[in-house]
Amino acid sequence: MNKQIVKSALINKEYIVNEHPSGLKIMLYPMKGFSSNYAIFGTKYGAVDNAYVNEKGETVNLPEGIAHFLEHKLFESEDGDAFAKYAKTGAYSNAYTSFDRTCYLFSCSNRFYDNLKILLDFVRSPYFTEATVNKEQGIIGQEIRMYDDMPGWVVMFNMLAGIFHNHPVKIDIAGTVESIAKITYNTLYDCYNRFYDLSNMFIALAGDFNTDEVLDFIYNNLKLPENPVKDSSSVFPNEPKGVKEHFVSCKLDVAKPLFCLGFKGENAAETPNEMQIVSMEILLKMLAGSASPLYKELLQSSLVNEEFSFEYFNGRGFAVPIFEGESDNPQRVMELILSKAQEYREKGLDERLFEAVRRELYGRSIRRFDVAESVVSMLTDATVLGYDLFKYFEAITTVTPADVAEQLSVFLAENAVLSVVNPASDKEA
Amino acid sequence: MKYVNIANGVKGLFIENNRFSTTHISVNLYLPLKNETIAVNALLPYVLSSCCKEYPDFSALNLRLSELYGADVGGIADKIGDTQLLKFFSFCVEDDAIPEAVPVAEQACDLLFSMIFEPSTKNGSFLDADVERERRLTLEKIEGIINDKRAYAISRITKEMYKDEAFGQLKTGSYDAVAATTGKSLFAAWQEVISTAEIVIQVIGKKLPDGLFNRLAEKLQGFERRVAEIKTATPKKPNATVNRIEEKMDVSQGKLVMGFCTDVVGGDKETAFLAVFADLFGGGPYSKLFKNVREKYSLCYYCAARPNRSKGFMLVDCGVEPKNAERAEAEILNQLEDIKKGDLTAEDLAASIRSLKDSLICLNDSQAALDNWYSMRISDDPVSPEDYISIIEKVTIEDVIKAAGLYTLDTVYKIMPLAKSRESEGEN
Repeated sequence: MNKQIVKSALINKEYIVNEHPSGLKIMLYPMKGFSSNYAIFGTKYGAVDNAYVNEKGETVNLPEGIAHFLEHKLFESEDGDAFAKYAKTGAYSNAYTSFDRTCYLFSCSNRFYDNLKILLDFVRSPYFTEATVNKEQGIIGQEIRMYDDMPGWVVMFNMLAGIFHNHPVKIDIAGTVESIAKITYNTLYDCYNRFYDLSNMFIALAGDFNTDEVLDFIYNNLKLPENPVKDSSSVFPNEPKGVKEHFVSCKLDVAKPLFCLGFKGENAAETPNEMQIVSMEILLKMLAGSASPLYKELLQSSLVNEEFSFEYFNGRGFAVPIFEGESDNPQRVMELILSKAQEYREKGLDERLFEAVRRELYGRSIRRFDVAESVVSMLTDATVLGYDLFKYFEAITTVTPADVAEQLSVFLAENAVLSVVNPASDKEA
Repeated sequence: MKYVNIANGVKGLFIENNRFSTTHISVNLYLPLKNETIAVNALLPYVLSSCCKEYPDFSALNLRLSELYGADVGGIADKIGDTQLLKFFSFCVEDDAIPEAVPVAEQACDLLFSMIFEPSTKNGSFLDADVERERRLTLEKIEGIINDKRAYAISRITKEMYKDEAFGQLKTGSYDAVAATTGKSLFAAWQEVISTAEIVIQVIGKKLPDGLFNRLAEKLQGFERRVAEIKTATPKKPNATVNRIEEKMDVSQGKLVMGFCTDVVGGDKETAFLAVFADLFGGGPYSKLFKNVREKYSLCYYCAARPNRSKGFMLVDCGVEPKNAERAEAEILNQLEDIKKGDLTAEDLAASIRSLKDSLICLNDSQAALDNWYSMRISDDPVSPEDYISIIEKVTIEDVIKAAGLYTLDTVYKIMPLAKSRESEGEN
């Protein structure tokens, strides 16, 4: 068993990595003295993996929402559902599907090995039938309806639809009522066999445990496939440069217009590395964070409220900086962001502000090691995106204003997409 | 673990926990929840934490917090039964977790005290610009509740159920009362709050910062303390006939919330059996509502029961296809009736207790969760999550059946779609 210890002298932390012969990546982060354990068994398969090329060389397009549907259905095995099994141990269990991954998780304060066994078993035991697929269509149908009524969700996906011509990140994770109606138990098995191959999967655990024991336990209890696929690749359609639409809007029952402003740079359809992520996170805080001059201006002129936020929306194969919020004048918010970026390009970055937000990012990131769930989430992010977690911290200490300034080029009007959800009551006006 | 008496109506609680690289400090002010003061009091934490005498400009304050490695220093308002809670907190990495020798934790704590006790004021008034900014933010928060239909439905049913009481109001108070707040009224409220609140300072971390409790006592010396009595909440008498409200909105999914009342309120010992019942009824995936309303009948994606310990009620809410709303309501009531009739197994109860225990133990791994746990309990002796486990372990099937029988359906609130369909504009 090749047990590798990954260490960071900088932040004085370490974890264990092991690659199982099947290709499964196992990461164990010991947290001495903690009460709870947190575990994820995940696969690098999400809503973006919506097409693949089969052995005959044909492109197979999948129904939108199938990764999420599969996640729901994997909870049911032939011998009962996983929730019922966890009910016997008291663990909290759940699963989620995002753009680029599907993760099955539990957190518990006791019976850790029983819970780990349940997780290892059910994720490796697909059981799909016509009846169980039909039943799920009703539940997921209600989940989709719920998202349809969530303006924050709608405004974000409308923005993505404006940014990308073809890139599958614009597909709604849960699909549509129509697309999930096309899912059969056969397509679920096809997707499972391809994308849940162990070589495409990972396990991340954090908690107070003995790493040798845990590793032995996983090796002894992991069900291996009879015919490993070893090809879990998906294909993304070619994404042209330039945005699809600069402005997208719709109406919903909201109090004030909601906006989501995204920028499509040269690397919008690529996976960012540690330094790009750190530089962009610092730049966003410098542009519009709580200590920035722009945020002060936006608040004082009543252009935004506490709903205002920003993030570097990124993952496996996509990277888009976004700003979101509520405003009576989203267009003006966009103009001010653009002009602040222009000012930074012309006059350079304020060094005091740079240093302050760099420290903020460091302090906030280091705090995440205090929570098992956050540790697992950081390990998961690094695995799915293919970067080194500790290098991310090194980047926070070595990043320079010049690195940050390099990211400024994306904030141009020609790269911008503004999505707005207007109040429905205007309809009668 | 015991409270330390610091001054008249001021207590300190230190929860030693060596797991974290941060120290979490909160100053909790408890006041009677009153219609006249809820809004002005609730605005205080937001104005106070946005600036202070030392940093009258909020951007300069935020810059300082960033420089302290992203210290979180802020305030919120909440309601616990008939009590209002104003919480101020400071959450900062400890000095040994950062590369430089800067006493960040101490400086963050200084800022916390400055915010509460040394606000930016002039001539007996908060500054207009600060009040206007925070007032607008609160008003827009109130208006924005409608954006989240689930939260909106819960706020509406609470208002309906407790329309004659301060508890029926939002945590922020009403729109009109917030709008009427001025720099002067806020200043008067600040003086009153600091003088009359019951105060508890909670510290969670490796060690209690030197002299922290004394410093709080010193800060209070300039105020004439006359502490207002904090009482156990009064439960609601259920409506003789169920109050039914339906609102039409431009939505695709309906929302159903059912409000049930009991007359049991009080501490953990008196109410633990209600919490176990509510969990078994509509808590985790092992609950009656999840197993039946969601899994067996595919009626909902979520269907959950949430008890309110301090005010003695329970809300059951779900998102539902409009045509299935009546069926969902009937099925929720059926599940309740089944429990009343004793249609539950020892394993049903065991599953709930196991799950509750597990999550209670996990609270020790989160400073914010522990802080919240203690500050939501107003008592002379702190009840730890472990103490609470020993209480819920004693809950029996008979207790759960009894609990189910104590709840009376009081109000049903629904959001239903408008008849017309939604259109997208598709502009470019």
